[in-house]
Order: sequence, then structure tokens, then C-alpha cells
Amino acid sequence: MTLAKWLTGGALLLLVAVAHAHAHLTAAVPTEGSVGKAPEHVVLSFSEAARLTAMTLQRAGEEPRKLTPLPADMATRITIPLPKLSPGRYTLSWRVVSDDGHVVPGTLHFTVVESAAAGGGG
Amino acid sequence: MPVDVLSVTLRAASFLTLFQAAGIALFLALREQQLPNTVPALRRVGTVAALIAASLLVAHHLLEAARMSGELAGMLDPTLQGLVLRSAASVTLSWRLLGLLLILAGLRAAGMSGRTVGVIGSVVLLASFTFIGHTSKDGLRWLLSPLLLTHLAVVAFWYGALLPLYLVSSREPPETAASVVQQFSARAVWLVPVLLFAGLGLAAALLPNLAALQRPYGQLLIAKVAGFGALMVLATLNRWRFGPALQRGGPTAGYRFRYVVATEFTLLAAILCVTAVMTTFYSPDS
Repeated sequence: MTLAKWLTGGALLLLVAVAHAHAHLTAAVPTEGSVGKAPEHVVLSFSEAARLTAMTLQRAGEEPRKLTPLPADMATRITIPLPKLSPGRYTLSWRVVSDDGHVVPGTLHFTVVESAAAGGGG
Repeated sequence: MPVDVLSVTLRAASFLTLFQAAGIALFLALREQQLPNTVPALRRVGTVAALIAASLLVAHHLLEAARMSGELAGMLDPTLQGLVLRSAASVTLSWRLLGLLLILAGLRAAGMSGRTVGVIGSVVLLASFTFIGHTSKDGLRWLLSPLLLTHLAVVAFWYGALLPLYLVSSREPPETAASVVQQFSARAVWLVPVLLFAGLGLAAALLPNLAALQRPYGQLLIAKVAGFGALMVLATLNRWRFGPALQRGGPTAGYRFRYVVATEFTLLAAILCVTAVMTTFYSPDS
């Protein structure tokens, strides 16, 4: 095989490679910007297994509070029970560590309304 | 966010110092016997760079638990520190410290044995980059790891040689300085394309598609390539203009050469800092 063929083959091999990089969020419940009744859990789905290392929930105008305990295992789908939430705008923040050692932060916003006014959402 | 800023600052500073230490070890392996007036200063600079790099690496490692929790108090969390301790980052740190230790030993020892230990230390140090991060988990690791190692070795050789060249041009006789610059430039002609193709190969493998170039990781990658282009201009100036001028002598030849080398050094340092930001906060596919 000539050098040119080796180089072409190598280049093609590189171009078709699929990266497995940081765990990034693929889905979340409640969804970003959702408005609805108070969710009982938050479910985060990631592109690859990740370990949740920190999670805080902040209601607008209040101090953020840590959510504990956090699951100790790595998973692609992480479910965390939420405390009873009163109506308001919330910011959920978290940090996960993926298998390659990278720390990946994330944030999600949702609004809780009175049950009678909730039209679905989260 | 302050934890993240502190972490990336430590990471960038560790890149600058560890590549400097490795680069000086590689430079001495090739040129030690030619440069009696410069070698003592290079040994001192290499030693200081290696010691600072080791301190920065340990500090950065301790801060990982804080990054995991999002606050400095996380450094005191035994669960998170345990997680860090059992991670690939700890293995990587061990190899980097071993590499720096070997470089330090090589800088203290005289002759062929010292130079050999220094080169082995540099290889160990640079190989540690393949233990963690994007390339370490990719299905094509067998291909990406050698590419990354090649890319980093050329960076260490190039970046690490600039400070020595700066010192050589002011401490050695003009004909010696010109000869060393000429030999460095002759190697660079071969090494720079290797650096470029290894870097582009890694990018082609890690970026999922061309659209990824519009996201932060891709944009920082473009910034690195642009910086590389500017470096090429400076390297060409040294190769064909300021390097030969050193040999001819003249009142400003040394000053002009050192000015361009200092600019090259600053640009390469900036590229290393961009790399630290890119690999800390962003991913090729997000």
C-alpha cells in the first residue's frame, strides 16, 4: 500500500470517529422553562454515565438550598426527590462528574404555580 | 464560579510551567554540550519551572473536590476528596509528578545519564495527558493517544526551546547562537507540520461535525489555529531573517531576534491558556 493510501485511510478513519466526551444533559423533568404544579422529583438524563456531586435548588428571592442525599453511583438517568415546593420561580443547579473525570455544571429553571392554575408542564 | 476560575487559572499556569520544564529537558538533551555559558541558567530555570509546576498540579488536584461541589468548602468534603483520589485524575497526577521528578533529577545530573533521565521524564510527563480527558475514553484511543502525545511533544519542544534560544542569543558568541537557531529552525521545518496534522487529526476525530466549530469548543479551536498561523509567521521571520542576522552580527541583531522570540513565547503561552479553558469548560460535542 502506498503512503498516500495510508494517509487517506487514516484521514477517513479520523473523520468517521465518534467522540465520547463530557456527560451532557440530554433531557430533564421538569423541562427548562416549564410552568406547572410542584414536581415531586427531578429527573436528569445524560449522554453518558455521570455521578451527581452537587445539587442546589433556589426559589427566586431566597437563598439556595442543597439537596441531599445524592446518589453514590454513576448513571445516565438520575432521579432526585424534591422537597415540597411552594409557588414561585426556581433555579436548579447541579454538578456531575463524567467517566473521563470532567466536572460538568448544569442549570434548569422552572416555575411552580398553584395546583388549580397549573396547566401541565414539568 | 470563582472555584472554576481559580481551577482553570491553576491549570493554565501548570501547563505553562510543565511544558517549560519538559522543553528545557529536551533542549538540553540536544544542545547541552554546545552551550557552556547558557546551560547553568537553563538548569536553574528548568528546576524552578518543574517545582512550580508540581506545586500547581497538586493545588489544582486538591481543588477538584471544590469544583465538584461548586464551592471552596468542597475541598474539605471527605467523600468528594475520596472520589477525586480514586479517579483517573489521581493516576494522571502521579505520572506528572513522577515525570517532573525525573526532569529535576536529570537537571541535577551531569552528562549523558542526566540528559537521558530528563528526556524520559519529559515523555512520562507528556504521556500523562493521554490518561484523562476526551482521548482517554474514545473508541479510537489507540490512534488518538499517539496523536496527542506527538502533538504535545512538539509543543513542548517548540515552547520549551524559546526561552533557551532567548538566553543563548544573549550569552553565547554570535556564531554559536546563530548555529543553534539554525539547527532549531531546521528541525522546526519538519516538526511544525507534524504539530499541525496531529492537532487537526485530533480535532477531526473529536468534533462530531463541522457545526461543532460554531460552538465554544470549536471557536476556541479556531482561535488556536489562528494563533498557530501567527506563530508560523514569526517562526518564518526568525528562520529567514533574524536568525541569519545573528550570524552577521550588528548592534540590533540580537535585540530584534529576542523581541520576536519573546513575542512567539507570549503567543504560545496564550494558546496554552486557551487550551486550559477549552478543556476545562467545554466539550467537543456540547
